[in-house]
Amino acid sequence: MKHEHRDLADRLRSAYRIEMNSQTRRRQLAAIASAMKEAPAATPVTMPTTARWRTRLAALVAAATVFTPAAVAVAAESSLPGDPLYPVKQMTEELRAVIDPTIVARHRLDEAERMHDRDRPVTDIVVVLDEADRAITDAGDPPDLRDRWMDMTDRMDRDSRPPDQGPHRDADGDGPGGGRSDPPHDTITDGTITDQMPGTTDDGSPMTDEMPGTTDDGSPLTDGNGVTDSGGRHGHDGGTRDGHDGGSRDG
Amino acid sequence: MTTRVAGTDRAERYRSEVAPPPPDLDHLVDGIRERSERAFSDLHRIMADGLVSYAYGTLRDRQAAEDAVQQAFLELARTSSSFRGDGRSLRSWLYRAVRFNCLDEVRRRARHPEQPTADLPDPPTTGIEPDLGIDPELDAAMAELTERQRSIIVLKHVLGFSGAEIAGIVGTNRAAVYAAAARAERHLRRSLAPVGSAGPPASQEAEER
Repeated sequence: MKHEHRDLADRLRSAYRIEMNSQTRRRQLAAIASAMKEAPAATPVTMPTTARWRTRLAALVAAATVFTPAAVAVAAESSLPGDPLYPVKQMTEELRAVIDPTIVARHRLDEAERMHDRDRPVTDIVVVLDEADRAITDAGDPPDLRDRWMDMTDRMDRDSRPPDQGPHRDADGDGPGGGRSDPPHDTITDGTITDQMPGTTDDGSPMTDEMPGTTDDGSPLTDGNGVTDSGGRHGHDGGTRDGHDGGSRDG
Repeated sequence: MTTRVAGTDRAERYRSEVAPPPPDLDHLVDGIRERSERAFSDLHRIMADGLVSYAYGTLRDRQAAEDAVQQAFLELARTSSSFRGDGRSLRSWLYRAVRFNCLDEVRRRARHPEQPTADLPDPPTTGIEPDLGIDPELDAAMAELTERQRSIIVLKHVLGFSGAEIAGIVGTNRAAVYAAAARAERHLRRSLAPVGSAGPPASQEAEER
């Protein structure tokens, strides 16, 4: 088993570990250098003033509407990221989320679904799904929401599959697997497959973590030590996400 | 004490046995934030190979992979002054940016399959340059995974990332990373297994459920 594992890793590494040649490197560095000159450091990327202004306005409107459920709040309910009323929705839900954190999770999932239906860019949907992920974690990982989230991420994955670039599927890979090797079907079961993971720990035990209901946050023992270098249980949404969100995806 | 040992052991086991851990970038963060050209060039020198390998594993197209990396650095160049965090988050930021670019590229191709950006050969070869130590069998097996699974597999085995860091890159939690990795590895092993060792697929599948 161990040996087999190593074989797979070796094989993957020799197939996909590539290097950028020096010519490409030089070209990229030149492009980066000129991009840096074009966009002077003075441009504040933190938060555009208009957005800040809009958020403040939204705060006011939200504060007003939370107590007098007006048409604005109702209209804002159906807004998507980027819409003018979206900040209102965020504010109202923030207040309501104090009572029930699943509201945020549900909202984000709904949004992701509708954004997906409207062919919004994957990059935008991924951001919304990240927020849903955090909200679901905050809510204590209710299985129904986590399942929905899994389904949704899988839908995204499915859409992101390359349009059959490889050799024919049934050439070799499909031999064992038959229907299984077709991810469109596979992904549907994704949420439920996780249920059966504990029985299939052939690849390494940490999977027991991911039972819905006993989430990574719910089982601090395995989680905290499972990945010791993480620097805390929220390592993944602390530094990395903030880094990214604060960086390029802000505008 | 015992739990700690067990946990560490598990983390060790999770980590790839082949790939060395990703490089440390802490010393570059300040320079990046101050937009030093030197820091960017160092960062590029250190990170380019890993990033392009990741993109390549996802897109299986060298040209497009290089474009995705360049795009990520350009984004960083635009926004680096607002970057907060340490070397580790810088690294994750870059991988995330590359992943987003890859996702967009893949989706774009799915919509306009007639005009791929890169020099994809028309016949159904693997779509990648043939001089790169290609493993067509592995390639086919990888093609059957979802993008997320491919990402996780490459990050883990080719680039040596920890579960937590992978979770940060692909936008999920560790538990989901473990599950996806396990499932993907099982699929790969089964696809790559010598003929006969996989057993009857139907019954095996039923067992799993």
